Amino acid sequence: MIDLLCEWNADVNKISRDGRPVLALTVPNIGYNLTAFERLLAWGANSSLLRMNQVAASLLGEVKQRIDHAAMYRRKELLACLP
Amino acid sequence: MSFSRALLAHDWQNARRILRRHPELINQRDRQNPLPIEKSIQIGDVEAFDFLIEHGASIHLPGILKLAYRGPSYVILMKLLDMGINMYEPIDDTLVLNLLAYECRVQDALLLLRRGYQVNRASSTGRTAL
Repeated sequence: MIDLLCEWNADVNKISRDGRPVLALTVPNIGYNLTAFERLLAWGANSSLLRMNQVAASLLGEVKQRIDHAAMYRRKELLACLP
Repeated sequence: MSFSRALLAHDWQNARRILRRHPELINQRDRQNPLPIEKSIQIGDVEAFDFLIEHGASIHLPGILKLAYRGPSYVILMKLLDMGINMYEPIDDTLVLNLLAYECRVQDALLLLRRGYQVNRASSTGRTAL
């Protein structure tokens, strides 16, 4: 679904009204499946937005933790993408 | 036979005959029941829907998008969109593409986007489909 929306120019760097970038909105879904997070990065989501404000920054730690815990071969690569 | 019964039975001859005498029935609610067009959408009766449209049923009704989205016939939803109903009408504080994305209905979302739906349109709560 993410790929379809992005093909139609969905804004991958949109910030929600409460200050969370789209990337951070995938946090609850990061477990053993990083697909949404990965796809957003692949479509150009700017991970530095996870530092843009207090709300986003407060989620950055959680994002890192969840990626770190995910049993996935690309976790190191993904962690390297984060600010 | 009543108009609604004729519609349900796909008895177009009788339905036409009744409408000739009472054309107002096409957009008239039978007591607390839904409008004929709403009923056809609710039960996903494409033939009845087409018949009603052909005979002048109004589609610009509040809540029609939600009804069509929740209804069993995606064909009717697409027909309504092609007929120009407001595709951004809120459905319980969200938007139709957001719901399709949430339910991972990729093919349906594609059909919507091909009809000109703006992918970055946000709901009243500020959420987009992404």
